[in-house]
Order: sequence, then structure tokens, then C-alpha cells
Amino acid sequence: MNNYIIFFVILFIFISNVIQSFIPHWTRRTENFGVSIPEHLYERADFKQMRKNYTIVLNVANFIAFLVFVLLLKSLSETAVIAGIFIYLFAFIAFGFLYYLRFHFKMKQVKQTEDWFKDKEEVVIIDTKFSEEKLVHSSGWFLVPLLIVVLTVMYTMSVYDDIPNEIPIHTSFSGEVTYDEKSIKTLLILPSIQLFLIVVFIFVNFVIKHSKQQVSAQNPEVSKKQNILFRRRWSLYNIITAIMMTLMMSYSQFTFIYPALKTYEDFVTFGVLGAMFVGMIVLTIFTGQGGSRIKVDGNRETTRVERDDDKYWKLGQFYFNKNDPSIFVEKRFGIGWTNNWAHPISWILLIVIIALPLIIIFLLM
Amino acid sequence: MFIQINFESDVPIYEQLKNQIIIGIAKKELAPGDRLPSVRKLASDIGINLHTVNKAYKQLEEKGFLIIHRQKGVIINPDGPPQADETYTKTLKETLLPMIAELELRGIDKINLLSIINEIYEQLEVDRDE
Repeated sequence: MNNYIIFFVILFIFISNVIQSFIPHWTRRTENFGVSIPEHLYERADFKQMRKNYTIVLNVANFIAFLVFVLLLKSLSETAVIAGIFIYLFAFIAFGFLYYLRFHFKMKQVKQTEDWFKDKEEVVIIDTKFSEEKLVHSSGWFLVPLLIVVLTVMYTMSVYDDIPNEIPIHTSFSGEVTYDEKSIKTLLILPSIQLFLIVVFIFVNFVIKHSKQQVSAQNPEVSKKQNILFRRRWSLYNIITAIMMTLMMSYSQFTFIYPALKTYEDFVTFGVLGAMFVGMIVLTIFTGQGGSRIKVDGNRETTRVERDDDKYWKLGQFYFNKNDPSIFVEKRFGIGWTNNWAHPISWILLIVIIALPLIIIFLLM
Repeated sequence: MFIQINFESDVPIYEQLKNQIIIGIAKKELAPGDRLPSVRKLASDIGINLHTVNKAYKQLEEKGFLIIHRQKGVIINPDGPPQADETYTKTLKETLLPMIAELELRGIDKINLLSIINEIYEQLEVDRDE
């Protein structure tokens, strides 16, 4: 068995589960487990305890699952390992969600009995000049990965006759390589995937720019600056990731031409994926959801609170608001953006995102 | 400029929007020629129906505060609203009459009211200088 690849995959899941366990600490300070709260209550002892408890329980569960899996690894068949990976991945997501719900309902109960919003003015604040700010880095940067793809394809075609006849098309976990006969089609598979990914990255940059403006009612100036930085940083990360992923796949393409490069392919792949992962964690820790962890000086106003929009957040995580023409909104419990599921375009986009790669695969196979 | 909408208020949202934009212009937070977000953008950011924003913008356009271009978008009218003339003053008097009548009945006399008006004018000036 090609043990170290499997180990890396399991390790990636392990780390992403650890990230999942810290989500409550990285949300905006106006919410706790998907329930909106006045900002000044974020540090309340019982709320802090909930976040701590969530992190500890998820980490313990994750660690035990990881340990059991790794110890059993040697005695499992390849199919069992693949099944195990999926079980580890999805069972943990399900467990995390259920454990989240426990605190979500508890928070709802606390909120109902304490009625924090009674004497406060509930408002929504927006800045009319927000979209004039530089929110993202130019999508022109995506010309860099596009150029890489074009050059890769041009080079491949120029040396077509010298390329070995057998193209390693698929490597299983056990290290068995499936070969395919050389053809223009097989040599265009990777560039097609590259192009698809670049389209996705451009789309993400679009979402970062156009997602709903969310300015805190308690300190609009501060949260506006935080939010701008939050968007810019993720946009930069998005662009760098696009370039790195494209380079990584071009490397794989080059292993078809020069089989000797195959030696370092896993190193390149895991290096790039690892760097993306580390970058994401660092970015999250220093930025927080909506920029909530960025230090910005400013005054705080306490007579106003954010409008309570809990009724539009189903289970605290799924935004469903028919009156809101927004399509993309910031996640409540998590890092990044989600959709307004009451908007038909959200569903169309979801279908397109799922269907597009299937169409590409279908056309190439 | 920050716009603040109170969903719990008795004042309809389109009225709140209109009022805040007019006050914003008076305070010079919105300068002549400044751009406002498109109807769709503003509605998305606040999380309200497109018609609500459209109604506010249309009424502000009629009054001469905004210009709505098909391509250039929404901008603050560089010339400002037309200056008050005789007809305007006449309507103003008609609007103020029942209000002042009510104020008098509630015990706010002329001097009181004038000092309140003075205060508001001064507040606008202070905000403008900031």
C-alpha cells in the first residue's frame, strides 16, 4: 500500500476537523452558535463555556477517531480504507453539526428568557459608499493562471511526438497506475480541469466583491474597515491559490512528457495543498469571520443593536429570506460566504457548480 | 454616508430612506454629484424589497434631490433641488398649520418652537463642519 498518501489524506481530514472545532471562536462577535446576540455579551462566562466545550469535545472525538483509524490502517483492505476515509469525513461533519445544534437550541432558549433587545433600538446600518471601496484585488490577476494553462497546452502540443505512448491517467491509493494511450484528448484532460478551476476562482472573487454588505450597528466605522480587509485578504488568498493550483496541475501534465518528474509529483501536490491549508488557517486566525479578529481602533455605541434576523437563519446556518434580493451573504457559523436559499439563482448556481465538472468529465471520457 | 434603517419603526422604510438621504445632503455627507448605490445594491445591502428602494429613489428624483441615469446610475443632483418659490411656501404653510396647531395645544409656544428650530439648524451646521 502506498501508505503515506493515505496518511496525508487522513491527516488533511484530521486538520480540517480541528479547524471545524474552532469555528465558534472565529465568528462575528454578534453571534454565538448561530443565534444573534448584542456584541457586548460575547464574552459572557456561560457563552464562553459553550464555545470551549464545543472545541474540546470535537477535538477529543476527532483525535480518537483519527487514532483508531491510523492504528487499524495496516489491517484494512483498500476498499475498507476508502470507505473509512468517507466515514471519517462525513460522520465527523454530522457529529459536529449535531453538537452545534445542542448549543444552538440552548442559546435560543437563553435568548428568549432574557430578551436582550427590549430597550434597544434595532437597526440595520449600511454605508452608501461601500461598493466604491477597493473590496477585492482585480480579476485581471487570473490572466496569470490562464497564461500558465495556455503555455502548458502549447508546450504539450509542440512536443507531442516525443511524449511517451502510455499516459498514466490514474493512480490508486495502493500505487497501481492505470495507463491510457496517448491522444490529444487525454492530454487535454488536465488543462480542462485547470480552466474549470480558474472559472471557479474568478467566480469566488466575484462573490467576495458582491456579497451583501454587513456593517455592525454598534460600531459601523470599525466593522466597515474590518470587512474591507476581510474581503481583500480572502481575495488575495483566492488569487494565490488559483496560481498555485494551476502550477501544481501543470507539473502533473509535465510528468506525462518527462516521466522522470513523477518522482517529485506527490511532493509537489502535497506541498501545494499543505501550503493552501496552512495559509487558510493563518488567514482565518488573524482575520476571523467578517474581519472580526482584526484590531481596528474606534468608538463603540451601545444604544443601538443589530437587527435581530434570527428568523431568517434556519437552524442558525441556512439563510432563507424572501424579502432580501441578496444572493451571497456572510456565513453565520463558519468562515466565508453562503447563499440566500430563498433566491432561485442560488439553486441554479448550485446546480451549475455540480453539473459543470460532470459535463467536462463526460465530454473527455 | 451611513444609512440607518429601523425595521421596528412606525415610519415606513422608504420614508426612512428618503429622510436620511435628504439629511445627508443637507449635512454635506453626500456631496453634489456623489454616487448612490444602485437600487438592487442598496436593497440587497439592507435586505429589503427592490420596490421599497425604487419608491424612495423615484420620490427623491421628483423632488430634485437625485438624478437617475440609465447608465451612470444614481447620483446626487449637482444643482440641488429647486429653490423654494411662492407655491412651495404656500404648501409649506399648509403642511405646518396642523402641526403648529397641535404643538400649541400640547403647550409648546412660539418661543419654545423657535428655539427648537434654532437648535436643529445649529445641529445641521455642527455636523457639516465636522
